[in-house]
Amino acid sequence: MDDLRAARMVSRPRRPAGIEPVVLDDEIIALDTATAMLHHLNVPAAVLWAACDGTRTLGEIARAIAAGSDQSPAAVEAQVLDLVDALVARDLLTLDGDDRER
Amino acid sequence: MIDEDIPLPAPGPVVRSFTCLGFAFSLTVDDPDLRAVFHTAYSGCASEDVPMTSFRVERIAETAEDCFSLYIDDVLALDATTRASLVDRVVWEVNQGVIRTRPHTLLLHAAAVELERRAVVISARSGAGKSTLAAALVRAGLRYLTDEAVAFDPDTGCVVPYPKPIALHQDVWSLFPELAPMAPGASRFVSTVRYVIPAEVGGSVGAASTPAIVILPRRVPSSNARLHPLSRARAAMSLAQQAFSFLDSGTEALKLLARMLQGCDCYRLEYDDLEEAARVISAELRRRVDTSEKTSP
Repeated sequence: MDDLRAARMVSRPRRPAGIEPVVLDDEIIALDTATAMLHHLNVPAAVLWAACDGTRTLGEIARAIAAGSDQSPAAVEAQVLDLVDALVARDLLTLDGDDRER
Repeated sequence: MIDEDIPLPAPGPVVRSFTCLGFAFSLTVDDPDLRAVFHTAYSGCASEDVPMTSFRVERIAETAEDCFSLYIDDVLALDATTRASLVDRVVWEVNQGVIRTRPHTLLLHAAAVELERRAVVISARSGAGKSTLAAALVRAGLRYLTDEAVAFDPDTGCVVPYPKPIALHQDVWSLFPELAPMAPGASRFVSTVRYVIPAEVGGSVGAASTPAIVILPRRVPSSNARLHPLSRARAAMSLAQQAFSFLDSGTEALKLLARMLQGCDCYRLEYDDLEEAARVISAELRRRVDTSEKTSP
């Protein structure tokens, strides 16, 4: 794992203000009230996003998800990092030190 | 005793009132043929509500026969050079009135039909064949709710009928051979769209119904009609794109949309043949109705 990924695993991602979620079955529709954009979070993304409350590190979240999965911890960790990148890119998550103006 | 002859007032244009999804309007038309067209088209929406908007159509006296003026609340809105363009404009204006009147409830650009108070909602972009599919479903025995705007009433959890005339484009008229040939001169009222009431395809207007099935149709040449299950969240994303004024009420419309979808089965429909698509949708709705009857106490 490179340094950037390692740093991410100890960050505490959280959901920014202004994102209004609506849960439909195990998926989420998230409305970004600042940009008036709707986002569809499939089941893995919804699970991760719901867990990102700013109190747990990404590593802790990944381990918790892996514990309930039949995939290896390394595979889950890789998926979590990819998902985090996607969610951060859509302003649906912020990482430590990444508090953007909304 | 008769003192003098008193002339009776000449029969004036008939004023009729209609209400479409809370939008109450009056329609005053001096031309009897044109009046009959409108009154038939909106027969499913006749009401005695106090109108909030008045539409008045008057023949332009000094011009040729087919020139009419449309006044909306006594303001000239259109000088129409054909009856057809006038009909198109009034239908459009009524749609706009409906959209303006219900900004804070969920209003989807979609068609809907029902059976036993269970509704199928058909959502697609303009020109994708919603009206044609709705007409085919009415012909297949389902009851008509709308071909344009699906209103979800949060108080009742139902889709409310908006039985405007079904707008069938010229390129699909041949798929409805049961439509009576237009009477001589009636083509003056028809542009490239023929407005049809459910009775003309052998059906009727339905009642407020619980949403049961959401269909996102797509014409795929040479494909057999097939329903592909879709998650409710994916369906919500598609429906949101077809909603009127979706974000005007903040998250309210999104919550209503989620509520509407809670009890729905959602599908993407690929089809080529209209009849086959109508059969597949009807069968799925009948299955839902049967299941509901078996599980209800």
